[in-house]
Amino acid sequence: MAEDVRQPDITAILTAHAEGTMVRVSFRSMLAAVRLATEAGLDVEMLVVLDKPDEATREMLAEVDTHGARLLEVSYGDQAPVRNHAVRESHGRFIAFLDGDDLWTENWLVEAHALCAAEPQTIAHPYADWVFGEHRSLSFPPDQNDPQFDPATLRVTNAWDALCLAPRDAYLDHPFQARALAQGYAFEDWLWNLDTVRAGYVHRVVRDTIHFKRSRSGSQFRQATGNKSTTRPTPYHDYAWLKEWDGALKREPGPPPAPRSVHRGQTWA
Amino acid sequence: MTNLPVEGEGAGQLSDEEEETVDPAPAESPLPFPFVGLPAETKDESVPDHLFDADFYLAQLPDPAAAAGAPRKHFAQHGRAAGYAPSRGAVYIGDAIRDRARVSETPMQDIIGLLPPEKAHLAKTDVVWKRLRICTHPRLYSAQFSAQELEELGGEFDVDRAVSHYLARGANEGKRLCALFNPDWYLEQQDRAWTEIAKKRAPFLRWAPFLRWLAVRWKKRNVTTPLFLHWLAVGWSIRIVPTPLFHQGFYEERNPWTKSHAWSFLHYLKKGCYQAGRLASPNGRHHPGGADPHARELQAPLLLREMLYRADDYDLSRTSWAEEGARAARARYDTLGSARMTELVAKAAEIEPLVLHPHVDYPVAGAPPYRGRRLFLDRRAEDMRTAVGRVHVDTVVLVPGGPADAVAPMLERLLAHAGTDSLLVVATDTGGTAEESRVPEEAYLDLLPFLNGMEQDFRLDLLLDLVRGLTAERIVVVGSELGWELLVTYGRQLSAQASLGAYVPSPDGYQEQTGPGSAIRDVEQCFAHLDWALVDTEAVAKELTNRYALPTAQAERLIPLGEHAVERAFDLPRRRQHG
Repeated sequence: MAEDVRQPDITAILTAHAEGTMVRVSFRSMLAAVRLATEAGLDVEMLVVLDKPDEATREMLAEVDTHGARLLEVSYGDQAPVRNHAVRESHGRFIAFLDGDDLWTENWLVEAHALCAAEPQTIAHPYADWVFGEHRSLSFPPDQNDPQFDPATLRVTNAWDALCLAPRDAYLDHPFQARALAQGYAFEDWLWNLDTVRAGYVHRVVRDTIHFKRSRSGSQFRQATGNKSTTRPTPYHDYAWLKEWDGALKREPGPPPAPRSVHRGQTWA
Repeated sequence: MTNLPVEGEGAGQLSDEEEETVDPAPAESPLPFPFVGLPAETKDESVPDHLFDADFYLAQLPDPAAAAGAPRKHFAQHGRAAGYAPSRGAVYIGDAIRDRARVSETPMQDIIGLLPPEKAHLAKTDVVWKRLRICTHPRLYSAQFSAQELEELGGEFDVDRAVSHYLARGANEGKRLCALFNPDWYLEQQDRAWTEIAKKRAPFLRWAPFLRWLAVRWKKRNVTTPLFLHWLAVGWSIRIVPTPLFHQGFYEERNPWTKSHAWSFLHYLKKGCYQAGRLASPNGRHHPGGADPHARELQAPLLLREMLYRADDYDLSRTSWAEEGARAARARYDTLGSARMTELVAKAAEIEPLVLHPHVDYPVAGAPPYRGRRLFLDRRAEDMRTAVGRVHVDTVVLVPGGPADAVAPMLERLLAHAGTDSLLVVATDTGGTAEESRVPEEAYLDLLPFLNGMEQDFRLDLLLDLVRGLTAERIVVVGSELGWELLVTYGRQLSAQASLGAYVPSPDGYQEQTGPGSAIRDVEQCFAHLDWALVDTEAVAKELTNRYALPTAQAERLIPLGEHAVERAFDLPRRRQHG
């Protein structure tokens, strides 16, 4: 990037593949959030990334450039490399992902940026995940600073999805790992959460914000769940590492210890 | 001292007569003890008016006419000594009176005094006492006593003893008898209920908040009634749900037939709270999902597992981990109703109207004690990790637990070969002890305390967490049903990290059989992930080889039990390398 070009505060990234008309809804939601962020003085870059799109989806996004968004087309068939690609193409200090059928509340970018800009190594999540469509439910992601939250339990249950706002470096240093459903590995967002917590990032919740997540059959999450997938093994799944971490936390709260070699000469990814 | 309203005739309340409709024929009989007259300890206490029912008394007499003019006098002079009961209510609380008489000279008055003064007349009937019994949860009650106190009281309470002890002492000591009664929640709901009643009875007050507040306060009087008994006598009749763990609208929506009951909460109290599939509130399931066939018989609601979790951290007489979680989740949910959130949702709905469709699943909050389907599982996983104590073993052997007869031949060989320092035998199905399994104490783990009450998926998740956490190099299933399920479900992933093996016993341990036992179904599903399988005889190995037309390399992985069988199995090269 040329030195005289100001680095955007945020890159808002919309990823899509076969959402059809629904992607236009998500794009409108992104535009509303970007408009509010711009009014608040933030410089926002918009990136739309199509991964092996069907024709209907491609058509719906054909004119996004007229709204100031940049359109990319890739061919991975997997959210993880798509997001990694998008991050490499982005220029913002912070990255905010939106899936091609979901929505933000219009204040998401402003409020999440305010939190992350004020507190280094913070990853922002919405106050509520509002699932609509085929299944309708609500969930309230935990705040890592909640004294009741025990990060060790992240090895058993995922706490956050990937539709967060985080420093670009968090994505560059900890790229999403590709799924491998045949081997039984999925949940790249869960793995990313484990990696970032291990690296000392703090996952926080932004009050008065909601992500509206469309529930559809055939989603990648549904496929992974039905396939009895797990995350790839990480230090979190190793009692020995967890014990070291327990000890480190008691001595001095902060980031957990570095990955260690484990038995049989194996080193965790 | 608590400010409590006395009962009025407000809209929506149930009269005592209607109560019979609500609960026409309780499944539970009256307290099952033979009451033949008042306890001897009460001989110096005259029977209080509220415990004497002339009609009931006269109906027992062979010659009612002789006492018709002065039944109370007749009771005092003749009936008491002859063993007649003064009322149906006295029959119900006879044991409690007897218990109370050990510490008080006025046991009957003491117990009747627990009821709100305006409802003391109910003491002679069985209305309140039947409700009390339905609501008795002895496991929660026992949990409020120390081990020593329980021992002195004769051990864990059952329903009868809990009822008696509560009335005789526990109510005065502030103990909680009912898992579905939260005193603080009751007070909050009661305020709301009486405000609503005041509005309905005096509509003009709707526009005068201060006057309405005054009207509600006017109905309040200072009484010393324990809140639980106040609810049984008053709050129940106006259908106040006294727990954050139950939401009436939510329950009726999912169980529409309960609307035809006079009160759906009563359905939950009597049945639903013992049924694993019955969701009770939008703020969480409140129990880990597993069924308990004895729950109803023991009056042990499934949610007790979560209510008693981290019991030392909570004053169980008032609240619990589960209740605080439900409150917190509800508070988060309520936040969505703020003006700011409402505005934001409305703006999103301008883009996508579908977001306004009502939610059908309960909200989940992610940090304990906030509610989430898996939160209890998460905590259990951490408890298990702490309890295991070890951070690595070379070999994990999964056995059913209990007597080791069926798996003894294989277990002995494994122990002899691997030793106990680097091997952990984990009982997964039926519990049991190290001695029963003939395994040294230090090499044995009973997983049942962590799995109890969990639905099957969660049990599997806990076992997966354990074997991954211990970074075992070998995972061997020896008769464990959960172990087989682990290999069937997660064999792909585990086989990349550890060597998987299993013992496939012949039917009923009959080792001369030429066919495999019932485990063959599991073997079929996970053989692709197994590095080896030990079978009882050469004949079984051949039969399996022929049945599946196994290539030589795969057939060699079927090893008959015999000398050095375990050594041969452990020495076989891995099918998949870890990575």
